[in-house]
Amino acid sequence: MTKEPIRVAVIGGGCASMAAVWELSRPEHDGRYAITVFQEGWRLGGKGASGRGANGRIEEHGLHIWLGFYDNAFRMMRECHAELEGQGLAGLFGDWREAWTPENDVALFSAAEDGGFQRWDAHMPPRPGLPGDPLPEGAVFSLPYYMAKAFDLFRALVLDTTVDGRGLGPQPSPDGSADVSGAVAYLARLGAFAGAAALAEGLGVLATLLGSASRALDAGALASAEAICARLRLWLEDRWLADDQHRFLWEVADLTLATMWGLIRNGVMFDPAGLDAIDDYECREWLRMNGASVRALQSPFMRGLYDLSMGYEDGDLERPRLSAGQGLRGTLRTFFGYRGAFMWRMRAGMGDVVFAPLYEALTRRGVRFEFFHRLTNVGLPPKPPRGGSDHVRSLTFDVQARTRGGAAYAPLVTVAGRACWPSAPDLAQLEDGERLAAEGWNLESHWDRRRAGENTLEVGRDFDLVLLGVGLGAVPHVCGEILARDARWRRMVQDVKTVASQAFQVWLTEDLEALGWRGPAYITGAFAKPFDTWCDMAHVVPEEAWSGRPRTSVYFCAVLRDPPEPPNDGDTGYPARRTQEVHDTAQAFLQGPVREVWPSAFDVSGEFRWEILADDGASLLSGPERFSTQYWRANVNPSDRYVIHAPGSWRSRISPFDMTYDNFTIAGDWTDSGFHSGCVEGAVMSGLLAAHALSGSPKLEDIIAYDHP
Amino acid sequence: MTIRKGKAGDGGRVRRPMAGAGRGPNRASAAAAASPAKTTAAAAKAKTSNDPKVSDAVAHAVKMGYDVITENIRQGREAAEKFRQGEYRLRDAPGDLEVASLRLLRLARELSTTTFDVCERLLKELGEQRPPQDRTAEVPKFRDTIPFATLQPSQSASAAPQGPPSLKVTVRFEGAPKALAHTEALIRPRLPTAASGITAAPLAPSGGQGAPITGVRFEMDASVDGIVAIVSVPKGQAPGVYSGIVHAQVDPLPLGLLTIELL
Repeated sequence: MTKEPIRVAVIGGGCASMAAVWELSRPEHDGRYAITVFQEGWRLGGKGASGRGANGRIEEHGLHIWLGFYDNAFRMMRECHAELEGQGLAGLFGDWREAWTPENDVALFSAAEDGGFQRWDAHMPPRPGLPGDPLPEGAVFSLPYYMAKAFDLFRALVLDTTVDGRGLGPQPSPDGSADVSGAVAYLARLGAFAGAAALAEGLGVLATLLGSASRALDAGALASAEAICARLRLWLEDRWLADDQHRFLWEVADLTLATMWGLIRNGVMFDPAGLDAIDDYECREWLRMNGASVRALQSPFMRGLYDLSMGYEDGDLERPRLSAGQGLRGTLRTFFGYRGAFMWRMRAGMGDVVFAPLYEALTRRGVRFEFFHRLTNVGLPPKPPRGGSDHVRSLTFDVQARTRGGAAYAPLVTVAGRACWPSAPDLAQLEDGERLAAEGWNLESHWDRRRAGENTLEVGRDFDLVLLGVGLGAVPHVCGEILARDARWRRMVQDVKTVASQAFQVWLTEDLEALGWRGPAYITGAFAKPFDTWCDMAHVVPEEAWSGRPRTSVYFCAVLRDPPEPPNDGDTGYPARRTQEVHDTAQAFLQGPVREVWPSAFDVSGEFRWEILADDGASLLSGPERFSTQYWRANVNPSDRYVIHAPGSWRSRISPFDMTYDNFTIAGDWTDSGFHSGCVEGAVMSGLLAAHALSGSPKLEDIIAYDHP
Repeated sequence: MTIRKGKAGDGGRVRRPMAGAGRGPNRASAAAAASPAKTTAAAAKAKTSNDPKVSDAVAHAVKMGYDVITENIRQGREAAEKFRQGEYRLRDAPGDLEVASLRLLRLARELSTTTFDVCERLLKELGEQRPPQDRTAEVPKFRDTIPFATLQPSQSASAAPQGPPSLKVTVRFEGAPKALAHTEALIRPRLPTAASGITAAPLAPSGGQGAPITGVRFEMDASVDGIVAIVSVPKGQAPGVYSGIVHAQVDPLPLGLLTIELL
C-alpha cells in the first residue's frame, strides 16, 4: 500500500457524505485519506440544507426535528462540537446541549367522524441518558426487549395521555376549589386503568420470558402469550365501546397489541432476517392481518406515522405506502430507543447547527470542499477488466461557477454572532458574479444547466476512491453508465421510491397562545392536508437578525404530489411553476384549516388577519398579498426528493459494502443501511458503513443499532 | 483536486479493502463477522427448546406472570371495597353532588367488576384462543380530512362536539331478501360494554300490526368502524317499518332506537 494519501472524491454534502467524511478524516487515520467534497451550488446539507435570508431569517428545506434515538448522528455532532470547542470556537458554535433542546410533547389531530378535528396530546416521559452516549452495558436491540418496553409505554400512555386538554387527574374548578365529582371520576378511571395495568403486567412478564428464554420458548408459552393478547383485545373492545373520550389511548393499545401478536405469530421474534421478514407487507395491511381494528388503522397515530415519513406513493394521499418491517423498526426505535428526550429541537437552522460546524471542523482537519461542482457522469471502463473487478474510471462535473482568482470559496456568513449558510451564493466571490445575478442563474436547480465549464477527473490521476452521496433521485441523472450495465442498480432506482415535498414558513407578530393555540410548543402531525405537519419554532427567532423581532415563526411541511408524467430536463420553468403552486396552496391553507388551531388569527368577519405576518416594515403589502413576504418552497429537484420505504423495496437496496465497483461506494438514506427511512439517522448510518467500506473503520459494532433486528 | 504522477493505470489502482461482508451482505452476517458481541448473541439464539432447565424456567416465569395478575386483581378488589364503603369521605361533599357521586361510585364499582371478570376469564381461558388464519387484509383508506377550500368560518372544530357521543352501527339482515336500515348510529354506552351486552327490544311494526322481530343481536366486527346489528327476519314476515329500543345491559338508559324497513 502506498504511503501517499489515498485520494477520496466525495460527491454531495448531505448527512450521509458528511458522516463518512467525518470518519475518514479522523486524526486516528493520520492523514491516510486526502478527501475532497464536491458540492453542487454554494452550500452543504442536501435535504438538510438551510440558509439565511432577509433579516437573517432561517429558511429550511422543510421541518427537521431530531428524534431521541438518532444515536449515531448525535454522537457525530457531539464529537464535532467538542472538537471545535477544543480549538477555541465554542463561542461560534457552542456546546451541543445549546444546539439541541429536549422536547417531549407531541400533538396529533384526528379527523372526527362528524367532520372537523379532535386534538390528542401526548407527553413522552424523559428517559435516562443522552442520545449519542455509549450504550449501557448489556443493552441490546431485540424484539423481546421491545415487547417488554411496549408495555412500559402502555402504562406511560395511560398515565400521561390527555385528550383535548383534559388529563386523567382531577381538574381544578373555575373558582379554584376542588371538584369532588371530578376527583371521584379520577379515582374511577384509576380503577379501570389499574385493570389494564394488571393485564399489561402479565404481558410484560411474558415478554421478559421471551427475552430471557430466547428460542427456548415452548409452544405452550407462545400460545399463552397469544391468548393474553386476544383477551386484552376483547377487553379493549369493551373499553372502546364506552370510552370515546380516551379513544386515542385504546387505538394505540390496539396497534400495540396487533404488533405484539404479529411478531409472535409470524415468527418474527427469532427470524434471522428480523423485521425484514415482514417488509414485503404494507404496514397497515400487516397490522390488519394481525387483528388491528379499522378504527385503529385510521387513528391519528397511524396517520401521523405516514405523514411524518411522507409515506404516500408519488405524493398521492390516496396511496399510503409504508413497509411493515421498516414502519415497525422506526416506530420501535422512536418510542423505545430514545434517550434523554423523545425529540430534540435544533437551536437554529439545520445548516447552522449541523453543517456549519461540520464544515468548520472538517476544513480544519484538512478536508477540501469544491463548491459549484455538479456531477454529470460516473464513468466506467468500456468493459470490466478480464478477470478483474469493475471500477469507476472517471467523474465528470459541470463547473457551475469559478471563484475569482481561483481562491477557495468561503461559504459561511455570520448572523447574530453565529456562523451560518446564506440562502443565496455570494456572487462577489465568483467570476462574472454580476452576470449570474442579472441572468438569474439558479445554481441549485436541476433544470438550470448553465455552467462556466466542465471538469473530468480520472482514476489514478485525480482520485483513487469515490463515495457517491447524492440523493437517490439524482442517481439516474449521473449514473447512466452504471444503470446501463448493472440490472441491480436499475432495480434500485425503480423500486426505492422517492417523493417531492413542499414547505412554508411564516413569521408572526403574535405568539400562538395569543392566536388561540392551547398548550406549549408542539410538533403537530396528522393535521389537515396538505400541510399535515407543523411546528411552532419560536425558539429559533432569537437566532435571527430582525430589527423588530417577531413573536414566533411556524414551519409547515408535507408531501407534494408528482405530475402524471415527470418533467423532462428541458422544462426549465418546472420548479417555478411548482413553487408558485406551493405559494398558492400555503396562502389558501392559512385561510382554511389554520382556523382550526389558531382561531384568534381570524377577524370577526372570518378573514385571516394577514397583518400578523411579520415583514420588518419593509413591505406595505396587505391582505393575502402579504404572504409573499414569507417563505415557501417546492422540493422537486431530483436530489431533494424524500426517500420512502415502500413494501418490498428493501430487496432492491444496495449496500455501501457492495464490491461490484472496487473503488466505489455509496452513502445515503436510499442504501441498505439497516435503517431504511428518509431521515438523518438512516443517512448517517449509511455514511458510517460507507466509511467502513473504504477504510475498515468504524467498527460495525460501534455503529449503534446496526445490529437492530 | 491535486494531480499526482505515478499512479495512473489499472494495475496501480487503489482498491477498497474487503469489508466485513463482501458483496451484497446481509447486515446480520456482516455484523456477526465483525462483532464478537453479535457472535455471542447468535450463539445464545442457537439454544433449543429441548433444554429441560429452560422449560422449567419458562414454566416458573409464566406462573410468576399469573401471580402478578392475581395480585393486581386482589389489590383492585381491596380498592373497590374501600370505594364501596365510602372511605373517600364523599359524605362531606355538598348535597347537590351526592347523586352524582353515588352514580360515579356505581360506575367505578362496575368498571372494576367488569375488569376483574375479564381477568378471571383470561386466567381460565388461557390457551384456548387460536390466532386467526392469514388472509388478504382489506385496509380502508384514511378518513378524509376537511377539504380546506370548502371550510367556512362557522365550521371551526375548535368548539367541542355537541350532544352525546355516538356509536356507528351497521345493520345486517339474515333471511330478508330486501330490507333497509334507518338507524346509522346509537348513543355510545357510558360503561365498558361488550357488543354481546347490547340488546334490542323486539322490533315492533310501526302500525302495531303483525308479529315483532325478536332475532336481533350485536357483534363487534373489526372490518367496520363501530358495531354490527344483525337482524334475523323470520320467513313470511310482513313488509313494513319495525323498531325497537336498544339498551346496554349495564346501563338502564337506552342507547337509541333501531329501525328497519322490510320491503
